[in-house]
Amino acid sequence: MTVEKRNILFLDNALELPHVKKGKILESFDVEFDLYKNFETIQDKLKEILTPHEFSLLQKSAKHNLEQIIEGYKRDNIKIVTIYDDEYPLHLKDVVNPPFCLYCKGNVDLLKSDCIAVVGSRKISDYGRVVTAQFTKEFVSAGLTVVSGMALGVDSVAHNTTLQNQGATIAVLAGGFNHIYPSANFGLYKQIVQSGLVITEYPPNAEPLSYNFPVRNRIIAALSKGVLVTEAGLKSGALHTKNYAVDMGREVFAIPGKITSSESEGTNNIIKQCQSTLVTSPKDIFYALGINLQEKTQKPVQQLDIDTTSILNYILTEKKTFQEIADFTKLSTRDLNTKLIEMQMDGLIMKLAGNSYISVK
Amino acid sequence: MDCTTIEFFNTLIIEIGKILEHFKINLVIYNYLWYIVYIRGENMLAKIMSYGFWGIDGYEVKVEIDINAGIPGYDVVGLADTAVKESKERVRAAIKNSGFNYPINKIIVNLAPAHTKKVGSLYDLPIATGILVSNATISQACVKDYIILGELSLDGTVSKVNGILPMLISAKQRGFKKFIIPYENMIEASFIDEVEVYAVRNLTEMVRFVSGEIQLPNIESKSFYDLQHEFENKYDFKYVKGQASAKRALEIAAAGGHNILMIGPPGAGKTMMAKAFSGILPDLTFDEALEVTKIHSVGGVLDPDKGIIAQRPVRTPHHTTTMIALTGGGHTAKPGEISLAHNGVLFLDEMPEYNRQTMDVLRQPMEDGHITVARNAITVTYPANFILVGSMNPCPCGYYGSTTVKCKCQPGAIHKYLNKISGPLMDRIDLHIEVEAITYDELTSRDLEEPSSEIKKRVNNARAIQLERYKGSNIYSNSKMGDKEIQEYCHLDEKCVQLIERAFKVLNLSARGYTRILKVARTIADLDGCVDIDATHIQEAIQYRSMDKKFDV
Repeated sequence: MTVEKRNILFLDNALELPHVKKGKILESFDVEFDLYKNFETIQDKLKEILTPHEFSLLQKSAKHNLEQIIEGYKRDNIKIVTIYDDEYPLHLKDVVNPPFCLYCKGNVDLLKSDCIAVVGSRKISDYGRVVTAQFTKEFVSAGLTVVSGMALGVDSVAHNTTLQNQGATIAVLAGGFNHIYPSANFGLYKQIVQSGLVITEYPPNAEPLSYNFPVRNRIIAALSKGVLVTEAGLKSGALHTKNYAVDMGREVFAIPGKITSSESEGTNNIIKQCQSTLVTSPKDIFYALGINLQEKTQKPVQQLDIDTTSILNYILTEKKTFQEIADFTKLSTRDLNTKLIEMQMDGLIMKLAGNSYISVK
Repeated sequence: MDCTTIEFFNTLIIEIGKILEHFKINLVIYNYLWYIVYIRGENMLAKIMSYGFWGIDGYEVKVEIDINAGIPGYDVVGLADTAVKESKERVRAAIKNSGFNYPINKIIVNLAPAHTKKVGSLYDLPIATGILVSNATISQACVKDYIILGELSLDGTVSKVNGILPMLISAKQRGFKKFIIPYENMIEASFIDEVEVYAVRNLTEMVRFVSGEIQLPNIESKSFYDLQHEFENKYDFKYVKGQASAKRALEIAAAGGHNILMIGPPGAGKTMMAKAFSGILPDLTFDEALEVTKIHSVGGVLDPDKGIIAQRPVRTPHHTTTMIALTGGGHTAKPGEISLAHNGVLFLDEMPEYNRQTMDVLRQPMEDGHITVARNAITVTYPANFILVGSMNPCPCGYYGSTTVKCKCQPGAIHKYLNKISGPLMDRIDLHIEVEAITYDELTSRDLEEPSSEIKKRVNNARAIQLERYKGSNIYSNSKMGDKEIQEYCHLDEKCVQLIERAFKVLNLSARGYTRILKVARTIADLDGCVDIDATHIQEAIQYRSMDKKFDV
């Protein structure tokens, strides 16, 4: 481990030390100067930069055994990517205050891949669920890496859809690996670690504090070529991501919703204020980002039998309950159960709460 | 000394007593006369056979009465509880009010075996009989063949007692043939054949009966199977509109004995379907019915007009219930709700509302099929082999996913609500189904749906296949399969294996649902009459794991 990497880990270990002050300390010393080993000798200089409270934080961090901590990261398979490393994605430096260090679990190569962010509210309607899944599916087949925040709602749907279609996904957390939030998504976290990448700028013991979330959103925006807001209410955190994206000159897309739907108020608003491009199809996004779909191999068209087609048409625009589909198709409960699970596994339809189904074709 | 001599002396003493009483002569002298007669008669001791129960098994209790000279008194020995000790007053009043003589001597009542705790009021009648034998109103020879059970009221009426059926069954097994029981327990006893059971209304009737003055009819034994059709389940699936998928899942649950959880908004008909569920379960066999009745009899919840539980019981404990109420307990170790639901259905409405710890006590009995209740004086094992039917709303407000009412819950709150049922308990529930809200059209449609009786036929067929398959083992239904049986009977071909692998990946199923899927698929195959599980069976089984699919919010 190089000295500069050690320095960053040492500073990160003082959990509440502000990002700006970390930057100042790193600037004031030579990159080859080991802050941890020489902590006793540089105290006076540090006191000039830091407030007494901040200094005491760093003092505490100095008492920990840094070697042990680094050993611990290795043991937990946490990869450290610092701003000095080659793996560090270049476009992350577009942010005003880029994170000095990314703690990563999973496939680090994804940091260099073409990414698109799919973000939105935690509380979503069925519409939001469906369009998120539809767009995400297309991004996966176009070979894009889907970046999101692993929150409930849109984030979960985006990650889950990507995983189901064997795509690549990156989750950016607002806390350390020892505090996975929300706990309901712990299973999802495990899956992403296995087949995607989970990153955070916070060391494992950092708790996901409420003000970390908007800060975390800058990473989501910076990593991606474009940001798609699928469904967001007026106060959604996704709108922070949009702001960062606008500041960094990333493309922002938004899917419109009904004007009567409170879940779509945020997305409709940013479209109205011309802060984002209105999109109605994934192709709009590919076009704007200059992605040529022809290169990618198109999936062979599936041969669908007559029942499948008629069910698909029936639930094309509106969700229908099991009973309604049964009444429509006149299939027996047993056969319909079998059919619906088959269609779910083929990714043709989606099951919604309340035993209802909708097409995601 | 034979019967008549005693009676002669007895009459003599009574007459002398009356004269003495008339002249208000000191009672000490009167007692002395008694003393002389009984010493000479050498028949101070009376022995009456009675019965007690321990859990749902009975044991014989010998009631011994000894009358001594001494200060008049009444003592019960043999670990009697308060109810037995209080028999003193009832017995005394009943004997007096029935016109018999109550000895004014020292009375010792011994309940043998002395080391087991005697509980309840059922020894009133044997004790009274014993006293009457001791004072030679009845001869010992007249009652020696009978097992006598019953509670006395002050006017001499014999009232009903709990646990008649288990005691009778156990006594019959031990070779007892003649019984005297309270009239009110008559119907309960009528299902036991090859024994003589006489039901008495009051003490006088009993005395006259045993001394041969009157004849009582032996209780006619009834056929259980005739009775079974007398009780009709008022909840029938033909009244449940729509809900095809839920009904199908319930049919599968009934056919394989699987536990099932229904998730749906208020007013979807969850409770109604749960109540109709017992109607599609296979009929109780006589042995099963006796077992259930025994438990209900011991628990004191048996309807005396019916006398036997002919239909599978449905127990619906309220969500404020305690652990002890579920498992059984109290100082007499009474059976709890899970044992009362034995061979039937335990319906837990609004499952997340139950105390989590209370719910978790279900885990072990659900695996074992019985529960051991250990209390200070007694340790009893009750059977508790039930099908758990649970119901819950999808979220705190109840309308998540509803098409008619908008859900007001935050996503986090919904997760929290769904997580209120512990994972290990959820693990033991094979089928989870979502029940959709019923529409106005469906509700008002006049078409009758498929009646429970039709569904029951299919269930019975599937059960018959299972009984044949598990012959000779202690498994009766697919839900009870262990790893060995799953290996043996849930053989999957290559196509099915691939299907399951893909389903786990694509549908995000949790791995612990795997064996559940196999068991349910086995039942679906049985309903179809197929020997091997095929892909469609697996697919349908996967459809019933909605909680596994993380129910993603």
